[in-house]
Amino acid sequence: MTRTAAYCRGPIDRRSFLKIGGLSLGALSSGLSPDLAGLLAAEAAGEALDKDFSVILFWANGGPSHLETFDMKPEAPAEYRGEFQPISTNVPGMDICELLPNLARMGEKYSVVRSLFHNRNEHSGGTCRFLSGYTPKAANPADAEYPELGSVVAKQLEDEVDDIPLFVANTKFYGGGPAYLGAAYSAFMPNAKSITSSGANRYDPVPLFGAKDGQLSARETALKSLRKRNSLLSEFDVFRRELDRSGSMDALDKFRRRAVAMLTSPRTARAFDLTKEPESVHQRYGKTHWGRSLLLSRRLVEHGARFVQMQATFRLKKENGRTSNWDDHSVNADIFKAYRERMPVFDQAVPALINDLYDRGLNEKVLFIFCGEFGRTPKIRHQDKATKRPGRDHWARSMSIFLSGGGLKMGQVIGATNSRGEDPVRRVMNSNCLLSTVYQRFGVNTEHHFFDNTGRPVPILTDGEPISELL
Amino acid sequence: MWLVVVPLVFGPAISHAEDGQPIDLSGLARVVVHPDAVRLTGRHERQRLVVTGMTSAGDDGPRWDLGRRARYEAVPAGVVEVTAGGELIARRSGTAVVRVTVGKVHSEVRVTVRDGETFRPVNFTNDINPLLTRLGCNGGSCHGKSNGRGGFRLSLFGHHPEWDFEWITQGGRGRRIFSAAPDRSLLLSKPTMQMPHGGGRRMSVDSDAYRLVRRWVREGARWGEVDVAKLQRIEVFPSEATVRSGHSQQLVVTAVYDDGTRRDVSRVVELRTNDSSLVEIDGAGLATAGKRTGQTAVIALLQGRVAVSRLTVPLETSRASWPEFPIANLIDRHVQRKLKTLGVAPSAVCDDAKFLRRVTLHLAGRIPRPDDIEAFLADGSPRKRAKLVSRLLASPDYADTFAQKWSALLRNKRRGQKDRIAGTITFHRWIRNAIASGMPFDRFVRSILTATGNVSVSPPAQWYAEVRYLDRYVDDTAQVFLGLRIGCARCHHHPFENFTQGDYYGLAAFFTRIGRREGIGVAERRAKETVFIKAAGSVKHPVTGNVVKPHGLGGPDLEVPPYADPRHRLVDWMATRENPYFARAFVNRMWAHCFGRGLVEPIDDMRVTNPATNPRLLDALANEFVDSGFNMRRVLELITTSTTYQLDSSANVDNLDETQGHSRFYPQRLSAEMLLDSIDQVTSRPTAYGGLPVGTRAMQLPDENYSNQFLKLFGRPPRESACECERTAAPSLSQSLFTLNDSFLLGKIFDAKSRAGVLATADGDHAARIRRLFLVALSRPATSIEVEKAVKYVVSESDAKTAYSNLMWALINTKEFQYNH
Repeated sequence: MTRTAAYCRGPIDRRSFLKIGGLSLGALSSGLSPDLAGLLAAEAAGEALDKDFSVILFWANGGPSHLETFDMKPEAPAEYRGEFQPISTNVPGMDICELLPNLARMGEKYSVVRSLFHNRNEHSGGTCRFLSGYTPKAANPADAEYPELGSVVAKQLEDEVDDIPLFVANTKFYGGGPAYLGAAYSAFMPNAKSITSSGANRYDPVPLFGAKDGQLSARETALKSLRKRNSLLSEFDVFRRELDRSGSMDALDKFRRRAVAMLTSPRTARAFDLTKEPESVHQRYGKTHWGRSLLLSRRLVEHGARFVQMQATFRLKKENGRTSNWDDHSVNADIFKAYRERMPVFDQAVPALINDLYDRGLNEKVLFIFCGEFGRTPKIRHQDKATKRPGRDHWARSMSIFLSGGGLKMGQVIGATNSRGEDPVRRVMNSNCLLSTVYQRFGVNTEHHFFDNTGRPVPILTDGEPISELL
Repeated sequence: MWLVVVPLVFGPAISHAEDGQPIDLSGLARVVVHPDAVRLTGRHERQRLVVTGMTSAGDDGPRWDLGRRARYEAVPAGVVEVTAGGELIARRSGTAVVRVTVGKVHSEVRVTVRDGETFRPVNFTNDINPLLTRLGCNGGSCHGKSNGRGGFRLSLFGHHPEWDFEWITQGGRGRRIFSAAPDRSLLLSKPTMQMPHGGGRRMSVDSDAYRLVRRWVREGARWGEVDVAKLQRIEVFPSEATVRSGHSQQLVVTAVYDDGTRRDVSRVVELRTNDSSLVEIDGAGLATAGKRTGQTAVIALLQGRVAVSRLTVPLETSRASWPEFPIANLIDRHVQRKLKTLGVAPSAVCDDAKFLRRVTLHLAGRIPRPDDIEAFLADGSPRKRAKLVSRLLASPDYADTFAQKWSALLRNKRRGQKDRIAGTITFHRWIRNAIASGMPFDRFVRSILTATGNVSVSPPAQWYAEVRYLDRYVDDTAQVFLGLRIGCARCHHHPFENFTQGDYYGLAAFFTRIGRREGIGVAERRAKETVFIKAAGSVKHPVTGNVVKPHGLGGPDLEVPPYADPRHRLVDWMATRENPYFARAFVNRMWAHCFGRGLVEPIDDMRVTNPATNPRLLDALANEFVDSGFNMRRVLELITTSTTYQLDSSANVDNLDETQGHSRFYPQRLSAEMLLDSIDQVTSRPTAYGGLPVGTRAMQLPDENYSNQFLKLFGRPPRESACECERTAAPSLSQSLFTLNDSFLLGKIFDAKSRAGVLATADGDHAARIRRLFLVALSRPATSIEVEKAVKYVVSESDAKTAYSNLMWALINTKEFQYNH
């Protein structure tokens, strides 16, 4: 691929000119013949894609507080800084919250970006904005109006799928979704039951095959009948495929073959089967929802999944709060009690995953990201009438992102907010810079256009440069 | 001499196999030359001739494009030069006659050259700006991006030449233009890659484009005469042609200016083909047909004006006779004419079982029941198909099917807000009643667009609960009722239509008096609002800042008195016979419903540059629709009783690859709701939907809020937009995983009460029970081979229930079940 092709796709070399005939640049960029534009872009993209790179996104839905995690402000007035003190890490100048002692010992294995911002302050709108790079029109949209990061990756990498789903999630995010890319590019959810705020913290990622607790006998029986049904289908499915020139029937066959491969492949079964991990590993990650989610994520990327997103659901004890997300308003939780309760779990599972990635040499190709849709209001508020407990509200003006591995430069803090954590003041970055960084690592050309449902070409991103310090 | 340049000016050359192709000119009786007279003003001005050979049969006979085979002779010599390909180049003032000879026939063209000794002054708007479009400089991913590229910005597709002129001549600290040393201007050194250029090489130093820009720079890079002629329209000749595979057709694009002058702009306009696998077009307007059979359009774009030439590549066939194709109504006449042009013969008419299943799915949204199948197959009446259509159109299932279609397009959406249920349910019911009672479509649309009040008294007001902003009123109205995607024109001139921002805001102006009061919730979540009409309201053009008067596309500006509802005037404009969009959009939508693709495709993109595959058929159907008083059933009846609709999906020797002319029925995947309802019918295990009575079908769901993984995976639209494209029937990996492994479908089949379980324990031999299963699932009798294979399998299985369940699963997953064919 030439550099110019990446910039402005147009008939600039003889080969692509012949391929697309008389179409000139405008046609490709403006919507006349999407199939051709797609064809050419796919070809161009195919050459640039990193076949190895994958992402684990650990999603603190509700919005994690930067002031209780990675952007401490001990000098700020009491109504801002909160209860916790920063502690030094083994990387000079990188301080994090005292609730994270394990992480503090391994600062060279992660980086923190403290200076992202965007412009949507409600959960689903913020999620859509943060994960798609576009501001949705509707307030509180349940589904994204623009495709989320994982869906774009799934679409752009779809030809690389083998017997493992490309894009796996434990639940659909509120405000996420494939939008105009279509349901085929939503995350594959092995256990599609989403955890709601009323649900207990019992989610157990896995069972495929209808088998209970990974019992092999049940799985074998299930597989045997699956194979039988499938061969019976081949016997009776004799409609002449060639009569369908749209390619739909061939696609159906292709996906069925792939699905059978996926369900019967020992590799997939292994990928989803946590019983394959020794007890010591389970103990390292912690036998918690988070521990198991991250352990499963590691197994999935190891076996070929490319984008794994796990919602970091956590049911608080009643006395600490009433939610299972990170939305620590005064009405929902005592934010300090909430962090005291959840962060030890975090500080076990996350370091375990990071060490695991490093020990296995996966840190060069697997990027772990921890973040949520926005940060939280620097000034502590006490709106809850009954308890007057401390809480923080939504804050898209600044947020912190935690990253590990991915072949990126670790052991650094990038950017800074002002003395009260209200606004970025150094390396001020639109949150699209994170998306841009991730797309660059995948080799996805962010200038590629998809067509929305009104036929308008919408590029993957319109702004945001990759974060240079990380590259 | 550089002037005798025939091949491409701007792009790299393509070698065409053309003209090596032998053609038999034995019937050639005369040649016709376009244009019949030529006027050229200025030195080196050009005019391409199109030379068409015809037989004595005239318009009914074959035609040949002979421009590259003709001999040209200009008398007297020296006034014009004629290239081998038939291009005239002005050399000096005077008049001449060009004699065009092919074999024994010839024709003559009179040429007048004025100002042949001096170059026509370069005009920025008419000469330089179109070049920037053609070279791709001002495209959306290059300098036409909203903030430009590499510090250099141009208006998108050059629709604001005054901005472009300023940015080119004043911007870039003056480095873009050096009149003293033109070649050092960035405007010339960048696109030729003499300076590094992110966009690559767009032209060569040795091109006409370069010479033109250079001349413009050297002459002082001027705007040009202020009162220079303005472009009114462009025309492509021929507007329609048949090009045999491997042959070429010369196209000529003519610009018509407001002072009446005409100029050959074939080398200035941007030319594109809508399908380059059928026809390729080069930079000089030569269209060459590839190996495939079909039709497409070549479009020309110049300064916001568009024009098309529709080209057909016929099948080379040695078929001796045309198969039987009964003409049932106007549809068949137009389709047959089209197929004859394509040279593709239609398939045979399908059998009764196929027709019954096909039409029941389209009109009633479900597969036929076993009793219906047996009765229909046994019926000996010759009119039984037409009677079936009438029966289906009168059935409640018809109302359910189309109520669902319109509920989706009209975005009847609850968004998880229980306060909105009252609105979504009453609106769905209102739509269903309108469909069932045969409400004329114009009244249907008027009731929706002009809705006021609260949903409890005026259910269509629900549309305004979901469609909330000025731009959405316009986008949805255009997309749903006019078949137009006009959103582009909100921010800039539509790149492929003659629509301006003024046209967009003209439509918006109809909606400026909408007021809302009361209600609960925010934005799209709002419920129980009252919509009313304010005394006044206006909208301003975002560029000029002037108030835009309401006007339909191409319609006059309207004065709407205070307190009146301008939306009625919008519907008045829409629902006339002359309106080129309204009736066509509806019949095209119904066509797509029945045939899986519209006559215009995508169905809501009916722009000039995306012509119908069969424009005369589209016009005829639209007329019929208007004549019937906008009767929705009438259109469906015409379609489903036509022979075209009843053709088999299997192919004859001609038409396997034919995908636009409807020479056979193209298989379509069932929609999510059809598929689930059909599965429920086959398994006799109905799906439960929260809060609705048992037995409610997916097709009857009033809004989008009934969560169901199957419907979601198989493409039920979330109703986020007014586009039918939201509904996708595309297969996906998740669907396959779901059908193979999820307990939802397996549960229906393996349930003890499922039809499979019942059949397993029923009386009678296996063969009879298997025949029953096939009839129920595939809506046709099983063949003896199928029965034999199935019996063999069933007896091989130790458990009959498992056997019948597996067999049912297999049948449900066949293409035959999952497609309408």
